[in-house]
Amino acid sequence: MPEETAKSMVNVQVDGVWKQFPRGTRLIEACEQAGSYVPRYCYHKKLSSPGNCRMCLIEMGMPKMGPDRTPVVGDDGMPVINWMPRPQISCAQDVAEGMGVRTNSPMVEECRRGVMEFLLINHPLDCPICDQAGECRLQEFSVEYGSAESRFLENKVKKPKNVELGARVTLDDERCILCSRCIRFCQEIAKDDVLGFIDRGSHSVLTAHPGKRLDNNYSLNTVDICPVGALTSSDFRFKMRVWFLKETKSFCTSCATGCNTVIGTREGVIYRQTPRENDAVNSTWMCDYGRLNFDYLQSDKRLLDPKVHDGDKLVPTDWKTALIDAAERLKHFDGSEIAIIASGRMTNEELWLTSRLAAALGVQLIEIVPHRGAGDDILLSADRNPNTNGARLLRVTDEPGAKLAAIAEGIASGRVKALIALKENPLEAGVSPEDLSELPAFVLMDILENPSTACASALLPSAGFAEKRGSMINGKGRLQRLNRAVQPPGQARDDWEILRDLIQEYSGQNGIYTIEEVFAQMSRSVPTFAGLSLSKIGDLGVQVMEVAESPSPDEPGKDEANKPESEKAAN
Amino acid sequence: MQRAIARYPADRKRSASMPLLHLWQEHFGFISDHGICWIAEKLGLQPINILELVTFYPMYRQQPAGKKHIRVCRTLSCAMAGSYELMTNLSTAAGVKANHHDTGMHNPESKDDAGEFSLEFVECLASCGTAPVCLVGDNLQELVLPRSAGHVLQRNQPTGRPLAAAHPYERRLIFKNIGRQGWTADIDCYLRDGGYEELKKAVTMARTDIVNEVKTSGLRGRGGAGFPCGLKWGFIKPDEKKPVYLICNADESEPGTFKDRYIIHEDPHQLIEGILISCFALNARTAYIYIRGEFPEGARILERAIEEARAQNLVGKNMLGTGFDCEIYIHRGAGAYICGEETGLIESLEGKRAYPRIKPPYFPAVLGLYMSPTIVNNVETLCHVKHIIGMGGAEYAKLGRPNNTGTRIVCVSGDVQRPGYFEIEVGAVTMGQLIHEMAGGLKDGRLLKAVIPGGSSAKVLRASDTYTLKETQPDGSMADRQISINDIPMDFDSLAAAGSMAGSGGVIVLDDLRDMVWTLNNLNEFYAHESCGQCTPCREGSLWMKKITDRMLLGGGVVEDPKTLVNVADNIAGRTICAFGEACAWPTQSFVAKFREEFEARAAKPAPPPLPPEYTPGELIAANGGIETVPLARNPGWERAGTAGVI
Repeated sequence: MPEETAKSMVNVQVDGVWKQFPRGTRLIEACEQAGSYVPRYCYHKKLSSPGNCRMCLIEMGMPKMGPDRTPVVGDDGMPVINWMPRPQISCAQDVAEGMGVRTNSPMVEECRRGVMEFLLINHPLDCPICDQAGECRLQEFSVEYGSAESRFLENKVKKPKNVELGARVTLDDERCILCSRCIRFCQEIAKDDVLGFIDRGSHSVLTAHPGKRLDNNYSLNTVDICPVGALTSSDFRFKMRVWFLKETKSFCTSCATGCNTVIGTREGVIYRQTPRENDAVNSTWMCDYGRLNFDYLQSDKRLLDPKVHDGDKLVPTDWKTALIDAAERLKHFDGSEIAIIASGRMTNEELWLTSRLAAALGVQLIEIVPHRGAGDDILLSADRNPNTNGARLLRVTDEPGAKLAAIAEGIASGRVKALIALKENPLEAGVSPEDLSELPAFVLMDILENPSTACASALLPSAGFAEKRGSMINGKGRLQRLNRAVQPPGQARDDWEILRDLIQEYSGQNGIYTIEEVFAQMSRSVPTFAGLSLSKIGDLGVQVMEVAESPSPDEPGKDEANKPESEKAAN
Repeated sequence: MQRAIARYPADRKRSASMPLLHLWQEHFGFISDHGICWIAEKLGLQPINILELVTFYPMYRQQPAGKKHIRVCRTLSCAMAGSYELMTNLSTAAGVKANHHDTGMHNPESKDDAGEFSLEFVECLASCGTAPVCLVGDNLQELVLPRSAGHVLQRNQPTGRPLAAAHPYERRLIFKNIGRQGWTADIDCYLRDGGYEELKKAVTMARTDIVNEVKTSGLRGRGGAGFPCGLKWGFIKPDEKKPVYLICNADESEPGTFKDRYIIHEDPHQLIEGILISCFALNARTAYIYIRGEFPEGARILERAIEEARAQNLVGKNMLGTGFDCEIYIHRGAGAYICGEETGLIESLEGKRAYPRIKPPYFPAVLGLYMSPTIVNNVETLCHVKHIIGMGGAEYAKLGRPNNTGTRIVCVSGDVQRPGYFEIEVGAVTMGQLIHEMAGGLKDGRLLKAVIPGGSSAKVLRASDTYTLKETQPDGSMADRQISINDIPMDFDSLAAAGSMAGSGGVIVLDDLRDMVWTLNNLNEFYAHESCGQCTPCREGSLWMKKITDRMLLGGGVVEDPKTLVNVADNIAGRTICAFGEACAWPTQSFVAKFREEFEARAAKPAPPPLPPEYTPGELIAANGGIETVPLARNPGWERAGTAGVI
């Protein structure tokens, strides 16, 4: 008899070798874990299994039963397998005790060749000009199961091309292999049942009803899961061959969720942002709003040079001059005459240096600007600041926005004579344009030109989320890491370096040369970060706080906090 | 409209999509985009959910038809009887510019300029015994001679031929009343004849006893697969907590089959009684009759029959005072063959495209209609239940042969003198008796060439072949017997042994004038048209096979074609979600195998020149495999070029 296994595990023979899998494992996943990847089109582990592409056909068997209804045991002490004469799909069933699978038998290979041929007969064979080329499953599996010669002598079925399925998604129906992943995504994940098949048989066509298009905020995920070139991002399509893209693991900073991402760049230009699997954060999805929110990094409004106020206008200068100028201006004032408007979009390292700067200046009036918008029950958080939790933890704020009125009032009344604004526009934080333009000192660190930049006495151009390293804590208390995908443009610099230099100019202290050192210093004084480093955060982040997403304490998050061990293990 | 919605559970309003579409089309003539949005809103659905249905089911149209809409059957038996010529003549008579070349999903509709007439080819109308047939509006026109096209346009009443009385070889159980003098379809006639006595008997029995009687009877399903009915019923747990549903599959659409039509039209109460007994046995309080859309008259007859039965307290609350509530509802299809597949039918009944479900896990008896245990039985099968209760299972089992019990209705169409339906004891009649005696033999001077014995999906049997049957000898041993096609007994096991199947009982006879490539092409067109398109092999393969036979018929056959046809069919069969894969592959596999010479004769052209030589990925990957490293042909002698750089 097979050795007694825990109830939660079952014995399965994969390609002749017995292995154990947790009960409830999908057969196709078990094969993959065993090292035998089964090709698939319609199956997606986060969606239901329709079993329609037939690519994952395998040979399957169940234990042979003796007359006494118990499994017959072979010489090896394992059950003898009764192989089914017909191939079975592996995507729709779970492993069972004594099950046998063959993933590479002649019958299985023949099935795959057959399905590949069927999928390709009506599929355009114009891979060189297809936008999916390089990340196309049809191409991928053609290498193994494709035929070099076609025996299809007929006309292909004509279908609509260049269909505007929604504001952000373009469909080429001729490339569609009708796997229904996108339909199921819309029904099951986005909860917006807008896609469907019309017509029948080989003439079936994917479409949306003209009165209700694919316009939901998750529409671009359909492009990610489309195994072929049918669904393409209207923003990205035909902009860049995907094999030229350098991929950098990062996360989205457009809201407190912090969906894990891959940033695709070439020669310093960002072309796209796609979600990266992290079951503790975003499964394999992200919202369109966050995904497309990177164009501003490449806008012509970027601040490229440090500038200082000279006479009645800002003039470009070098960093040394700008930083000395900024520090000199601040030195005229007592800490009680200075206010700092920081940002929940800054990294922990930047916020920590900000609090050090505030301490060096003796500033009490420090606050971040809350940014809120409509959230949903899927991924998008109402808190559009990606690092509110970091700002709270590092004492840059107690309640986001609470002190902004006091800052504005202080400036208006003249009690506050100097303002340091970090990645925020004071005009959007309650300060009036007249007051701002009359402020004796206004040091501004930002990335885009806006109405407040003209008022700055010292303007310090800094880096966007894709241009720097650092960490943030998402709404559920998970510490995550940004990696640099591109260099900041012009003379723009890493925010942490600017803050460090300001502190140095002011206090004369020295000694931080790398962002790792910033983190190390921070982790020594902030117990939450004890024992961590940027590299230890890893690609999937680390749970560091037990928090319910602010401000409503009822939202989920506790589940995450209950399993930090397993997550750490996963990293 | 509210009544249509009320037929389904309150949280399953989506099921009312098809009934509402029918109502909309009956009222407005076609389904506009406004209609799609309106129905979606009414049922709490998205417009795409309705658009998916309108385009899946060919009976729904998005453009107005002519005042008189004519549907001409183009499938095999009708095509053999001249329905293409009929269509041409109808087009001429109606002044319609014919556009019947299948360019898209549906057989396209054509309309005359004045909007008086519109014409459409449709797939099998299940009246193959009176081919060719067409539907003028809702009225079936049978035995329509192509030259009488002008008259057909003017007809407003159904026309057919008198119902046939029993042939001496027949043993009529189900068809006992069909063609009987003075028989009518109303409940009074049925009750006078002792109707509903079996139901009254059944409700006095224990539920398990009824199921056991059915098991004892050995009844096998009459829909096509021949699955033992009692075994199927046994899958329902007696103490099931979820509601159990019974579905009567009245989506008769296997080309060559036309038996359920007559049960429904002539003896509806027999079916109602069979359903009620089955519902009682299975503790199913709701039964749906899924009737194909092309049977509008049948649906009306059944609606009337249900109301008559309700008036007698046979249907509805507290049936016959037993405390058992039982409702029967009619659900009309709209022209999709795949709805005959039980899980496709269930999806259709749930208001979706009839995409068959994967099994496992969606076995109807476990996760059927609304994810509840569900039994789907064919019309004829349910009628047999009534007789099993009447006779007792053991007595019923004496009919026919062991493992092939009872009677069954076989439908003969094609090239015979007297096509029609015959109810026989299973196996009591041979193929030869059926064709040459009961159906009157072949037409004058013609010879039998081939028989498709169980609906168009069944593998074709060649008349000149000999067949091997295993037979039990008097001493109990088994021995092979070589027989001709005429000696094959008409039962499940013998036809399976002959390499085909009894299927749905539709026997299509082909004589020696038939071109087998043309015949297969007709069937291929049927399957390409009816493939639901859900899973890859059938969706792509069925149309591919049709395109190959199309090309062969037009004179473009190449030598590779017979081989390609069979290989494509092989790549479909056994690899699809439902049995449609086999259904569309078997004709091709068997036609090419049995009539290879005809296919080769039409595939004489040389294959087109291959593309410039390319290497397979496998050859490129394999170390030292296939592709040799080729040295330069000769040394160009650069060393002699010197500083000039020229050789």
